[in-house]
Amino acid sequence: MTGSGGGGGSYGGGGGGNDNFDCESVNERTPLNSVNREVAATVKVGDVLDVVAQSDTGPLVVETIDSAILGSITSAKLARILDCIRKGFSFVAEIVEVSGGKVVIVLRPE
Amino acid sequence: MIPRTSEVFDDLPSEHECVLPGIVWGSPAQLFTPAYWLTQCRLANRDGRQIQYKLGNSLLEEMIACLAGGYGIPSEIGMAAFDRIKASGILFSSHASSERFNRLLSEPLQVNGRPVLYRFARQKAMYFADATRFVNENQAPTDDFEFRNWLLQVKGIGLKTASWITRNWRDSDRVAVIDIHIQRAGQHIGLFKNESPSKNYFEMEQRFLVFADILGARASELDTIMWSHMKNWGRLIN
Repeated sequence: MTGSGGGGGSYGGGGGGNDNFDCESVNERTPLNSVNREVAATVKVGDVLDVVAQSDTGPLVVETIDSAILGSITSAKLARILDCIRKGFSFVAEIVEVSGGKVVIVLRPE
Repeated sequence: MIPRTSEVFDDLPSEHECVLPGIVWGSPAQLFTPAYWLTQCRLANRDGRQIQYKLGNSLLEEMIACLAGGYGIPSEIGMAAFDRIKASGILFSSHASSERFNRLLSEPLQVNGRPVLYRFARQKAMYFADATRFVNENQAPTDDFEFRNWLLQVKGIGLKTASWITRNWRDSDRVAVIDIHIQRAGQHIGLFKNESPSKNYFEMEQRFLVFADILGARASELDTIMWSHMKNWGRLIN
């Protein structure tokens, strides 16, 4: 049985509900937010970078090997992924697009 | 579909700017900040995932679905109870008795593959019977607020449930469903203090509606997304 048992409130058929999310099958293509252009200039397509949760509630950032923050992940699945990390899963970000301040990654399990 | 960064994030105010006095936008990458809620609403719409909240195919079904929840009953159990009631065909009968509803609710429900007893079956059965009688004997008003007030005449329907039915059935952005999850989300950002919807429903609702308006989000969609995220991942802020 799931659910908080709190107020039994406004549930409906959508909005990102509990969907038996499989942490091991994450394959999320998403643009990065708050991209650091200087760091972006040092990475290229195909690079695989660390994904670090700075707290249980985020932000979820992508770091280079030198621990420089490239940008943060703001996906519709952010809460699910942070929950996975809290459960002990770890993820990496593969860069699939870099263009100035725009960086797109694919997030997948390490 | 991959949302373009510029479409979703670039017009967000600075993290340190206030969305309302004393409430900063925060980062869209940080759970449950105002910027997060706005971003999640935009992403949900942009991904083509229609934000759905309607549960029934008729007003009576909507009322039963909403009445089946509350009182600490987890949503999965409330929906399982509603599904059984709906499948029985009892809602097509104009003389559905509380005894018939009670018989349907007293048998264990299957929830996530396990048998679960529905709490308060006898009391809920009375509410369902009263709702059935009420809908069959009365004409619903067309104004959202009048509609909500009209629903309050049904046994078991308080302001939260009346708002919930109004939001769902009328697709209304003029009301908000201030339940425990919305209350916690609001307290987390400072929208609500240590106040209870049972005593301050209208004040809290008004603040929520203003918040949605400033975000530029539909109140109904914001409410649905907040509820879902807080239910599933609200423990991350505990």
